[in-house]
Amino acid sequence: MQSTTTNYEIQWLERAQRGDEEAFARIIERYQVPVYNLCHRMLADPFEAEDAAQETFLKAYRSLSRYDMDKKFINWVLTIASNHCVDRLRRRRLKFVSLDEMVPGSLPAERTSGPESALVEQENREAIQEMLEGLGPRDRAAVVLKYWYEMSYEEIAESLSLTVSAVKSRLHRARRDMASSWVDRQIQPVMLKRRPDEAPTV
Amino acid sequence: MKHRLYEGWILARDELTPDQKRDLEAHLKECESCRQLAEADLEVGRAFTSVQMYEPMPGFVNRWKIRLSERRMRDHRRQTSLILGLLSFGAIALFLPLLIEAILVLISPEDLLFDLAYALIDWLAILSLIGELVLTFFSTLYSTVPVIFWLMAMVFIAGVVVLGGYSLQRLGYLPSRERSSK
Repeated sequence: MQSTTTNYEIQWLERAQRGDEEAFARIIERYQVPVYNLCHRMLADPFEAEDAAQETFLKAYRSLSRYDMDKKFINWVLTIASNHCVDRLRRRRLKFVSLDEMVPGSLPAERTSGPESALVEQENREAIQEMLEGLGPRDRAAVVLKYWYEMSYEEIAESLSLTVSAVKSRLHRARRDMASSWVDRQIQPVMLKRRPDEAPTV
Repeated sequence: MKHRLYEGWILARDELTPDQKRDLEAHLKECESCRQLAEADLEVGRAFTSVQMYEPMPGFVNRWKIRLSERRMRDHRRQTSLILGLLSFGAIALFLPLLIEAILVLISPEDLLFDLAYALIDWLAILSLIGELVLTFFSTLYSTVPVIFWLMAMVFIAGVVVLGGYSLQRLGYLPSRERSSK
């Protein structure tokens, strides 16, 4: 993911600030994947993620006059997206969404080669989603921004309106919880995946 | 107590000093639970970075454009209904006293008729007073000013009127004459 705002993008943003819808459409084309990915990771539902990503771009378009051109656009738009998702999660509270409900179109277009690696990726994706769902809205946002977007503690703090020390402690707690759930997962899978009528492998 | 310290170090490896790193490595060789946490943390990090980003379904931008136009229409409708609502409220606020008055009149019209009659009488009284004042003024004027002066004043006024009329006529015709000469 390219994180800096290019000269072309600055031109599009300036045009969009003057009300040029087409210029902003080009910006969306450029940033739709990171924004959608963040929403999907946060909300764990492709349809809600689509809605949240659309709303994020609407909010961004309408408050574009407040955007500071000296800052990275990606950080600004991800801030809007993460706050929107945190609000949604708070409203929704604990709503479980099965991973089987995901639509094919929402899966990554580029697949790793071979069925084995695809299986590994699928398992990792499920594990990550489960771990994320175990976290609170803000912790989840902090983890997503840290792991996928490689944001610094300061940038995360600015995005989530937290102090740097609060971000650090939240990330530490989240990482500890995820690590322990990863350990639990590594112990359980063979037992869980075996069918009742299947004999244990020796 | 020591475990908590090392746990914190495991989760902040990038920020450790070389001495702390060495200390942590030594502890990890001895402590099974801390080693498990450190390995799991690394594996979680690897799992996160190995998983690709989710992509939206094709046509995301078009769907955004449609949503934007729908939202604009909704906002426009909301604004229109707000303005209409305010206007209706204003109209009701304006007409309500009139309506109440009309209802009161319908209940007992004689009060209104009496009021109208009194108002008419008042106006007539004022008009007659003005007439008397004008009459008194002119009769006083006639008795004090000599007749010759009145005649001179009338001739002067007539002359001014004739001159004024002539000037207006010339001014009014001048542009058309100029146009015709060209």
